[in-house]
Amino acid sequence: MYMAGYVVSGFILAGCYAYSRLRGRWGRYERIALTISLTVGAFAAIAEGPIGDWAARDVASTQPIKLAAMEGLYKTTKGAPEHLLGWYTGNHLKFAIPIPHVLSLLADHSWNGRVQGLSTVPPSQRPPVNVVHWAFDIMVGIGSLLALLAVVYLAIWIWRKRLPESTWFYRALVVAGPLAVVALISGWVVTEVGRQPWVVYGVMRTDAAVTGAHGIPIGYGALAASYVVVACGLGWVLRRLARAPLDVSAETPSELQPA
Amino acid sequence: MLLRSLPLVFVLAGVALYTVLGGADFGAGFWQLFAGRNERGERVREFAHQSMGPVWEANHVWLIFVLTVFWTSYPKAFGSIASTLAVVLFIALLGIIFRGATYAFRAGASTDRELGRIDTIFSFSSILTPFALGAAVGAIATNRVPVGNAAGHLFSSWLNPTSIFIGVLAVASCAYLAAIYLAADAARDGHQALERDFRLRALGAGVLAGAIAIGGIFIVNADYHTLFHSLLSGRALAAVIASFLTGLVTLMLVYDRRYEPARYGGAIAVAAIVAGWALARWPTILPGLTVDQAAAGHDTLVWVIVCVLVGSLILFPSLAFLFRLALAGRFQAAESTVPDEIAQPLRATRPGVVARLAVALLIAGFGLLNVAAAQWTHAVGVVCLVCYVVLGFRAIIFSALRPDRPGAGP
Repeated sequence: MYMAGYVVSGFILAGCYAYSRLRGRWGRYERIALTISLTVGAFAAIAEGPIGDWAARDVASTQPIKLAAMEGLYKTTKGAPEHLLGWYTGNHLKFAIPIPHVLSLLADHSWNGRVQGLSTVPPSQRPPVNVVHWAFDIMVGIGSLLALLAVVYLAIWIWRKRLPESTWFYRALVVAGPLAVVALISGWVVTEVGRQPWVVYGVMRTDAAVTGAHGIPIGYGALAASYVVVACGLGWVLRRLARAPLDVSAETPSELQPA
Repeated sequence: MLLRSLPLVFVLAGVALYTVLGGADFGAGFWQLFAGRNERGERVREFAHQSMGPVWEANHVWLIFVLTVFWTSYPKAFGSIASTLAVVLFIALLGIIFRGATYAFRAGASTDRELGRIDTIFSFSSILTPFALGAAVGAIATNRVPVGNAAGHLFSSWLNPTSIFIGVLAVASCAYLAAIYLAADAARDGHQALERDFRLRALGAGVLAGAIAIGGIFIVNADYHTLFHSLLSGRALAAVIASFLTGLVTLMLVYDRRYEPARYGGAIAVAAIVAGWALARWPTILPGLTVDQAAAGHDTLVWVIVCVLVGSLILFPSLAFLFRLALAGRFQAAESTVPDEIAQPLRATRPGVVARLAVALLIAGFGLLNVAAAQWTHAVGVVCLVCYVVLGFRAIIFSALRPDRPGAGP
């Protein structure tokens, strides 16, 4: 999660400057800003690989039902396959792409490792599988794409000692920023929805933990409205600040490209 | 006993620090509202804004500290308080959100009208939040928060004479503290007119806060006699008297224009009220729930204490540094650029070596985190990965920042 914070902020900032480049603004300021933010995002995106693998094994041992929901695994299986996409209905994933043995490898680091299924707990103790499974696939999918982008970026740095020049790379960066946010939110959905109906796994159910105070929907409505106001204000401030002239005294005119 | 009480001592210390430091921030917002719409008022507003600028975010660390330590160490009490006082805490939250947001939005204002509107929202939130938090304290102090999930009344628990009295007292104390601090800042920076303005405000607010406190004692007596009685007996009485005397001394110091000692005097006077309240209630947290009964399990408490102590090793030196800079007025000075002799060695590092080290750390992190299975190897592995990100960043960034770097752009 901490590392994901660096990935998201790195790619969002880099996306803004990639957009600048696509629009033809590409001075020293934009170049340095993109390099700094993308470098942080890229290294962090690669580090997410080992961290994700560690987190998966941790979930497998501490919250096995969450892992089963992430994978739509009904029966406890040895040498379980990993399923990509698909729709969970009638206790199995339809239209999914299976990759044999990969789930066991990920969860247990062994070819024929045993992975606990949803059937080991009564239906009342299972989370909504499709939400968790899709959120997980979205998170991992986007995370992998970001890592790929990171590898391309770093490889060009190491071998060519310069920034990538392909316009497609910068188009991909513009998309990568918002996608990183989607991946982050999906990760939250996996961890929170995947734990349901427990608020503390195996100890306390969510309905036992919820406040007894009345009018909570009103409160949350007011809170949501407040954040909409704050978000509008933020947009207003950012537009105002963006309009102000940039104070880059080191900028030499020759470096500026015509818009 | 000590184990179960120590986290509550941390919480109370946090409440006292939040009242004193965060309170001054809220108070600065209070003075912005009542500064008037003329040029003199504009100067007061601008100065209050600049003066609290560097530290305002740091002061709210204490609220977060209080909440996290409290809910970890006394979950039952926290649950009861948070559910019964949901409405008033929610109001405080809205105030905090809008305060922080409008503080940042100030940067985007280009006309006086826009600035005025933003400042008005800021000031109202600065008054609303301490009032709501004070009212919540009043609810706990008068035993209107019973143990249980939303067991008390959602409104009458904090809409009662004592709660309103403590809410008003909180706002007045914030205004008092802020006026002292701002007068001290103005005197330090040599703004004589501002110093005069804030000195008068400090004296006025001090007298008013004292009068409210004394008058409030009678409100408390009529509303909830038990609190009145416990505040005016034993150790609590000592704290109340200490608060009264330091408050009086502080007023004289302000009158005498000796602001530096007045800063501390005002802080002690306000902190002593928190101490008095705690002593009056000890060892009860909520009606029928003592500190011992409310405390979490043994291991939780041990780890809370360890974490607080370790965290304070980082927090206190940082805060001391921040306050030293703020009190010396260093933030008002023009921004300096990094001198060349500092920047030079950074550029001189050889990127190749750092890059290889980063790759080595990535491999080591992978091995320790994903191949090895022990808890401690995982911890070391995570550290390796963090170092890999930092070193990798360094390896690339310093060669990228060289202005003469060939092939830097299209």
